[in-house]
Amino acid sequence: MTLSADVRVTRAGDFTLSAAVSAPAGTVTALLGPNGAGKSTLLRVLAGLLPLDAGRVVLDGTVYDDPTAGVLLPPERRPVGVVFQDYLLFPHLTALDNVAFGPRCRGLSRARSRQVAQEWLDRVGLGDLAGRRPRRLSGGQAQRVALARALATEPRLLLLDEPLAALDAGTRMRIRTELRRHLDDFGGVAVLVTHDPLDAMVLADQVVVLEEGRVVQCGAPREIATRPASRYVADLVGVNLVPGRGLGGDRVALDGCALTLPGAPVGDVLVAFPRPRCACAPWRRPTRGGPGPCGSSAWSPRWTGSWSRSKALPTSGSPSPPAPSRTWVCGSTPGSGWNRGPRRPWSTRVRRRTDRLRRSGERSRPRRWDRHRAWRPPSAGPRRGRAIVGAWVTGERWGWCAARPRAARPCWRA
Amino acid sequence: MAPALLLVPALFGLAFLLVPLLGLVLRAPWGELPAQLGSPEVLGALRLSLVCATAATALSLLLGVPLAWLLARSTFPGKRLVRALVTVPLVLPPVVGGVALLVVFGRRGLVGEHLHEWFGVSLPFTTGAVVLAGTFVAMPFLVVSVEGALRAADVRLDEAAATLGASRWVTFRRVTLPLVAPGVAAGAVLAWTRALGEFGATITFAGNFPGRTQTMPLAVYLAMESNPEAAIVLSLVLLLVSVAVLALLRERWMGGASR
Amino acid sequence: MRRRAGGTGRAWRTPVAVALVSGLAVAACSAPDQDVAQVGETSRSAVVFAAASLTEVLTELGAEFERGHPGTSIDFNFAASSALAQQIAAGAPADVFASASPEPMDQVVDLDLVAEPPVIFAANRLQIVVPSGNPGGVTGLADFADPDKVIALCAPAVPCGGAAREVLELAGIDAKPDTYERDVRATLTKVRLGEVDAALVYRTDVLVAGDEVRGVDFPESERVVNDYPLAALAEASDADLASAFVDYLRSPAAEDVLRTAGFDVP
Repeated sequence: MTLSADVRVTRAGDFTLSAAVSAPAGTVTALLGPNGAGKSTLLRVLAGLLPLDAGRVVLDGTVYDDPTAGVLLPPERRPVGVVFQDYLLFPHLTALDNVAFGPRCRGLSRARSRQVAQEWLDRVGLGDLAGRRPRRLSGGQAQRVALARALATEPRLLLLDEPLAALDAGTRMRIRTELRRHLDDFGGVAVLVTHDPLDAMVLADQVVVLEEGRVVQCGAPREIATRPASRYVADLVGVNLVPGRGLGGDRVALDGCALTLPGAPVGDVLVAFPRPRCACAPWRRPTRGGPGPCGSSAWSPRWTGSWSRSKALPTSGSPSPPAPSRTWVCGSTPGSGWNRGPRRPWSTRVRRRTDRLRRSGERSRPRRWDRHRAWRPPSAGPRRGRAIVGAWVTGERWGWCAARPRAARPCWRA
Repeated sequence: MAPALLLVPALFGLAFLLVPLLGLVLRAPWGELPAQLGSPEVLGALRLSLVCATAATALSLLLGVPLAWLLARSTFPGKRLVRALVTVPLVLPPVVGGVALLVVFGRRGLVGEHLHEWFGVSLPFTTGAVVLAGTFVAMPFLVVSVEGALRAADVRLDEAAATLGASRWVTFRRVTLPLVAPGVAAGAVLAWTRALGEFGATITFAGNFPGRTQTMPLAVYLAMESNPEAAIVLSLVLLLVSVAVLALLRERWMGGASR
Repeated sequence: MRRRAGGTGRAWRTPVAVALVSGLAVAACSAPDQDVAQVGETSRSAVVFAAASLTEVLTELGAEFERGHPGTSIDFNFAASSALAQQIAAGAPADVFASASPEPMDQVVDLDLVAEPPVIFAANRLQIVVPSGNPGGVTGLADFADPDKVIALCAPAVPCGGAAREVLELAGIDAKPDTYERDVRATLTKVRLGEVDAALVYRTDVLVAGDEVRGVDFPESERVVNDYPLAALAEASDADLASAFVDYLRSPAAEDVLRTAGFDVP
């Protein structure tokens, strides 16, 4: 039981989605990407709500959509279940009738479909709210009813469109954990659309990164996190990608400075800098005569692969290199000072992974890490740091190539 | 407190609408009311009016709701034109509507000719013609109202139903229609009242024969020729019946919907 | 407020000055020519409320009258006589009333709204009218009792309906009409459209309809003649013009026009 979709759709305007996705049964594939990347379009194609212009959608050997063969199965004839972004529960039906709607449409008797619905509501822990109208359900409850409704038809393809986006942070964490449990139980192919990397990391077995209608990277969550192939992914997973040039001899020239990276190749490279919670850069005037050494970096950069115009990255897809931009480099590299990063809850799962890595001592100096943590200003509030794999403070210090911090509050090292 | 610039015209407007009704009530020969109400002509006209208005509303629902769905949910070339044409009877003088119906469904009309030839059916001067005339003038109200409701309803709910395995028809019946029920009810009430008051198209297309095609408005008009007092009484009866029915419907449907 | 009053004052000062100057000019000329004075007068107008059956003939006579009396205009309101009587009783601004039967006129007379006693200026008779080609095969009044034929009559409340009922009673025929139309023109229209097989309307109306319909004479029509009373009204805005038009309608020239249109002239 597998899903194999080669999707080419042109929408009004000149947006073209061209993506190939395949997934075996029992796995969860996350479609990760910024708004307008085509994630939801891809999901709509899989659900049958949008016909293909070209390509092919096959599930378990059954062709659902193939324009050249003239095959197009309407959504009601596909074994799909969809959890929509804002759930789209039928407002005029009770929770029970919402869940019973699918089984009833698929031919079960009224009594039997209600029985099935009740079982599903029990499974998602809402058995006692069966008689409620959606209007009287909380966001989390509505999400669970929507999940029950989608699963009650026993689909072989489960599509989830930003299932957690409409929830507040606290609920989201709980529902995410629950969703993980239900997805583990689900035997078919699940495809999840999200723009939150944490959802993708926690829920998915495979992450497909979409940008501007194209797949830019595809792989296991960990691989995506550690080897981001594009600036968007890097931003998402918490590293900064800086285009540089390998000079040979482990030297890499960046915008305005140079640093030593063991094993760096010669030619165009992307250097990944973890985005720190609190960066500490001793402010020093540039020395005369061009780039100085970057040997004093506060953070040890890791690198994600070489970039060459004629050669693709080791990961799938073919991203264009981020345009070198002074503000971008200097505004987001470790030297730029206080950088809060996007507000994201700290997942226990990711934290554990981080802890594990920290324990392994891989290039890490826990003492310094702790010291940095201790400097977190009170304004940072209860938010925790990001899950950054491989970002460890070393004794080196970041050089002068960072620009002066902008409005952000700097956190100087003592 | 509302600003005077709004309040004064509002009160004038209210007076303008209510004073004529008040005049009707004041000038009514109340003594004659029971006798008039009991007379077979009035009862016949009243019954005919209610039956025909209800039948016209039913016919409007049967044809108008699908039409509204078509206008709201599908795309086809010339849709804007069709939408404009559908609302034409709203602005058309009903007499013109009557003439148009006569030209089409009359014995020598485009359609009526064949009806007469093949089935021996002649629509003018029958109760059916009254219903048709009422439907012609009332259905646009229903279509406009239901189309508005359909446009306001979330199409994605239909998509959700489709992904759950519901065919287009099941989706329409179990999702779309319940969602727009308040709009349908409002449209039906509008259509009913419009059909009840219908005069011009009826007298032109259906003629005027007591018990068969003479509805209350026609009875009022003709009574005005000979016996104005009776006309006032008839008007009053029509007024009372419409107010009563509207009040009842409001309780039952609109009230429930606006809750 | 004061500025406003001043403005209004200026606004009406000019016409007054013009009037004064022109008055002086007229006095200076001091040549009282009747015709010139008449032409110089603001145009006079009268509103005639007339039965629908008079539409064509009175429109023609009104135009004729206006030609004979420059500076006058005759405006018409054609409708069912009974409706017109209602409107006059309710205070509609009418100068002359021409009814298609005595009853509506009597209502007006009873309310003391006429300037002088009504006079009969025309009479009309009923005629059977059938669509051209006579699809129903109607030959006489007897066919009106045939339930299979589609028959239209005027509503009993309007004059042609009253006359029709009278004729049918005289002939001893139990008519089976399918509709009682609201006035004679509506009845005629149903015949013109071919929706009915026969109807009873005035002879004059049959003439108006031209080739689309055919009139069938029947002997009983002689016994029910509809008189058309005419009266200038008491509340006429221009009593002279109203009575002048009433007189004109009784002149030989007007009688010729009425006869041509199918009316009997007493």
